[in-house]
Amino acid sequence: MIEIKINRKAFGGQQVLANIHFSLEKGETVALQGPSGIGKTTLLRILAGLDRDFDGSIGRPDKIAMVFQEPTLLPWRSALDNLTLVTGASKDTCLQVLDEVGLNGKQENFPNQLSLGQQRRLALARAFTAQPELLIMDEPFASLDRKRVEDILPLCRDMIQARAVTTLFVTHSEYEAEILAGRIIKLDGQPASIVAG
Amino acid sequence: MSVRLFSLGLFIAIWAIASFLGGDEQSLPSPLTVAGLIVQETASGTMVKHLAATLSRVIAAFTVSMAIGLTLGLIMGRNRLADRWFDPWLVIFLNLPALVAIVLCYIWIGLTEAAAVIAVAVNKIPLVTAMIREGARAFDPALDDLAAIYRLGRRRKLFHLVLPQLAPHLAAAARSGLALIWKIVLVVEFLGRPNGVGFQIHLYFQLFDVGMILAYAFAFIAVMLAIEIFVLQPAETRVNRWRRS
Repeated sequence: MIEIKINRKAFGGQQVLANIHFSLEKGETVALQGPSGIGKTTLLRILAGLDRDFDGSIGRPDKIAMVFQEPTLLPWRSALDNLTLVTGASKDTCLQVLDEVGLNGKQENFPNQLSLGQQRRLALARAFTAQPELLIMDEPFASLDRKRVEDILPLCRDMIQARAVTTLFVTHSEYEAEILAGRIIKLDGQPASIVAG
Repeated sequence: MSVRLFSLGLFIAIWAIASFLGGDEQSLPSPLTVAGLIVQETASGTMVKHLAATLSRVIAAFTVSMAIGLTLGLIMGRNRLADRWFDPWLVIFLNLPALVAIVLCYIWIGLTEAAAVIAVAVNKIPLVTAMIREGARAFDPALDDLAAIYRLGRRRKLFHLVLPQLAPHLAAAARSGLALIWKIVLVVEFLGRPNGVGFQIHLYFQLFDVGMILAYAFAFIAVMLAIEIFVLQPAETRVNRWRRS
């Protein structure tokens, strides 16, 4: 189980998060929603261990993976190298996951030779190749058109379910939350706290 | 390419005309005379010996400068406290005249090979540091997050995240560095080494032999051009192939 207890998080004198306490059951997928700028990404960064300057405690597994708002790939390495070098997984494993996300035959391409949708698939493949116990996704399908989202969402759902990985993701889309999440947590207020979920 | 060849041809033509109009082969020998001297010195083996001595000093000073400059630049670019502490030192060394560094190294260390290499490196390290620092300041913070999340080890982070991001700055530092280093190496040899192109130029300066001075200078320029064309440019093309894909 993953435990999140954030009593207080501030930037300078500005408190952004207050009394955010919730937990994720093993294998559960939870969507995090709220107005822009309310602190959703800050919460994810705290959970990921990228921001340790807060009052509270986090109980999370060691093996985590994150899908960022931008694909955040190594532009100077091939698609395959982006998986092998970052996750340390074997070439065979990486090729298998690339195949799973529909990037078979693209393993030697550099990221700038892929479309944005393909780059997002590659970022997703990287996360799953790491075989995480906790998957964190920050608006993983942002700036994709509806058709692309409809393509990638079921794929993402199936991969999460097949691996039974605990997942917390931020989205503004009710549609994405409906397809992927078993539960929705909503943040609101100033400083932000949980208002639903 | 044809424009470059034409430009080079024009330069040689202007030189030949100036030499002809001057009418004094002693002060400004023609390109043909200088070419003859290069052939003569090469055939005797003298030029190869001195070119090799200079080139080895250039390579040693270049390696030391790039290694230390890269390390210092990375530390200063990534750590604000270190940057604040060492920035005044960097300004001092950036403004230290090359001649002062060379003379002091010879006085403190002696007229040795180590002193020569250190003197050149002391001149070049601040420039490499400043260029790498700018590159390190411009690192993409998202890639730092990536490295933290996926727990990339130091070695993997250095070779796959840090150095590729620094590649344009490293290439610029290497190119400008090589050009600067060989000029300083010549001064170092001029002042205190028993061989090398700088030593030969010193010798022929005392004999007022402009032809031999030009012969050694152009021979070494040719060596450096060959390094630029056959080593630096292919390396840069290889490192940047993802940009052109």
